[in-house]
Amino acid sequence: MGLLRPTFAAAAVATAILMAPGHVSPLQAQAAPNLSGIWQRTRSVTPESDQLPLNVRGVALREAIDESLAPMYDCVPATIPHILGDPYNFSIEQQRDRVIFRFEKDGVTRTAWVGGRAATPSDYALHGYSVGKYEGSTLIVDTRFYTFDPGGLEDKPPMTPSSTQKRTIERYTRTGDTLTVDVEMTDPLILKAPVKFQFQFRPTKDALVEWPECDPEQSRAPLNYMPVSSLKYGIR
Amino acid sequence: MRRILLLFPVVVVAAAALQWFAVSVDAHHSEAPFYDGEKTVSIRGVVKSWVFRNPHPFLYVEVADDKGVKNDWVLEFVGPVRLIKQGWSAKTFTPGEIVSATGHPSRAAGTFGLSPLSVSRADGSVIPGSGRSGGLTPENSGGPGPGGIN
Repeated sequence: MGLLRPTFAAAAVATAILMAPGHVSPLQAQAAPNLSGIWQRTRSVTPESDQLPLNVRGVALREAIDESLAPMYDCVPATIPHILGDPYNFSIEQQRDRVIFRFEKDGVTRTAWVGGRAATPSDYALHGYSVGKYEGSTLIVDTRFYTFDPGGLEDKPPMTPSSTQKRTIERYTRTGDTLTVDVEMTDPLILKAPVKFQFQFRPTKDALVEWPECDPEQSRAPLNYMPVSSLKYGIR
Repeated sequence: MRRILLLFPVVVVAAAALQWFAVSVDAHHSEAPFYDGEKTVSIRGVVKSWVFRNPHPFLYVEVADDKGVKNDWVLEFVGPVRLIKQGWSAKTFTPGEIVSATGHPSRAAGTFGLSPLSVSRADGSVIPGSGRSGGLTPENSGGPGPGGIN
């Protein structure tokens, strides 16, 4: 009996460690691909604007949106997939119950919950609500409940919005020192078919640079350099 | 003269390549709606202030035209994170110092915005990263994208 006490205590300690948030068990570590680290973009493939399979509403919304409506001019961060498309680094941190993405771009931090609850409408947010899972050597991140975004489908002119029905599926696959991220976006209110993006990254030893504070006044200032006549509605 | 003529195509190709790269880095916002890429102007003036913030740092420069009329020009650079990687900071420019810049002017009449192609100190030294590519090279940019200002 005396021998059991230390054994029990050791088991309790071990259990506590295994249950601790953020702990990755050896089994999970074997099952999950190692994607952790800081990544630098090497390649970007995005669909041409005239190739987007827009439905009639999508076409009409694209016609209605002009540069001055772009959320970026009010310091609103970019969302998936565009946040992956600019030449800034990002990091991946894999924990037992979550994967944390930290982007230099816009200073954004996203969390994909692994094995957690499903998304609900109460999760509507700029970056939506992300659920992650591992399939073989791939991390799959399914994100729903994005808020309406004037540049959510295409964030550069002519700009195309995404609706609250926007859904993205990201697939992160590492082959040697190459991380490939395939993104499929669906949005039945805007698109007739899914749209695909692909980005590739390589590891970098550079630390992430902290994103300086965004100045909303300065952010919007360039719009004053556009002749009013070049805006669709003449309103900045 | 013959040597100059022989070099001419090389210069043209190099200039075209530079121009292509200058407008092909991916963008926070595109340059074309705001700045006239068909025009290039040069200015020289006194730094009034340097605001090193996102999404784009602005350099305010007081410039006197040939009639002595002073205007405040605003130079818009690429994103500060890119510039930090080039060694830039909130102390890159000091109020009162003289700078020269060449770039594309803003489109709206009566405005004095500039999208710089290069910025130089009073001694003529060009500041690395002050152009449209913000120090990006084809090797580290991840390939071409829509032209603009990151």
